Amino acid sequence: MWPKDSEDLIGAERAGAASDDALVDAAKRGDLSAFSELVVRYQRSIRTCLAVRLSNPHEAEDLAQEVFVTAFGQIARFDGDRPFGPWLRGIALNLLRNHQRKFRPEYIGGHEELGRLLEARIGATLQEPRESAMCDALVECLERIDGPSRALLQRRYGDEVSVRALAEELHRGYSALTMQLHRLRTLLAECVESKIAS
Amino acid sequence: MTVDERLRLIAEALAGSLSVQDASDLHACCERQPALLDDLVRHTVIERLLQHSHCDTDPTAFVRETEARIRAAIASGEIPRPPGFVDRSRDLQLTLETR
Repeated sequence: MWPKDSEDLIGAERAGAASDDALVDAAKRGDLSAFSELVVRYQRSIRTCLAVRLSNPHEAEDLAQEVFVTAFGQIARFDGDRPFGPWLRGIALNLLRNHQRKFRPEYIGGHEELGRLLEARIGATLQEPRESAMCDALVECLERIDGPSRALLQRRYGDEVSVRALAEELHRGYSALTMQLHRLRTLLAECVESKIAS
Repeated sequence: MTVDERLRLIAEALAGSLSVQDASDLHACCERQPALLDDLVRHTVIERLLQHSHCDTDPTAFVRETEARIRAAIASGEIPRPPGFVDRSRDLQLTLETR
């Protein structure tokens, strides 16, 4: 039996007692706090789902928030007999399709056919919970990298410095730096795959 | 296409410096060789996860920003106001303001 009062419901959730169903019911009654608990539960999966499908991480974050805004707006129509996660993921993939129709994606190499081929393959290959597992594994794998390689990754991805600007900054050849980043990605991909396999 | 050439094309594609000709060559090779396409997918996914993990904002901030967007969407009529809409943080803010 679920707490009748939403405040009790949230208290119960913090103690790990409230189910998705109870939170959805409360959200259907207009309780934003209950819905926020669902955001806490599903934000990682939705953010990762969009991050691997969009080349711009800021667009992915923005779209992930839009997913939850849309979900709150449509919560009354949600069939409580079905699981909440896949419904939310469906909204995410719909919004992604609309976003890609509205804003032309930055295709890899500026080549639309290559870009479409790549995105279709990513969509066909990746599923939950693999995406979230990959994201968690990557964070662990990154912790194993230190020294100049870690600093390089921080400048490239944390500070968002282009490879060309980094090459100038580090007085390195552009091709050499490109290949070093490629080797680091290979190392990380192997680490992620081994963690997932185990 | 040699292994080194494939490697160079994927590395340059992800660095954002693939020429039009190289992009065409990579596309043709990916269509012929699914293993090459899978390799490109593997690197692209790691590249995007790297970007994501570095710009990954604190989940608490994400939740707060999402709540703010929901309130704004309700206020502007972008999404319907649910019956019995409860916004405790706003109530709390009003309480604090009237003190």
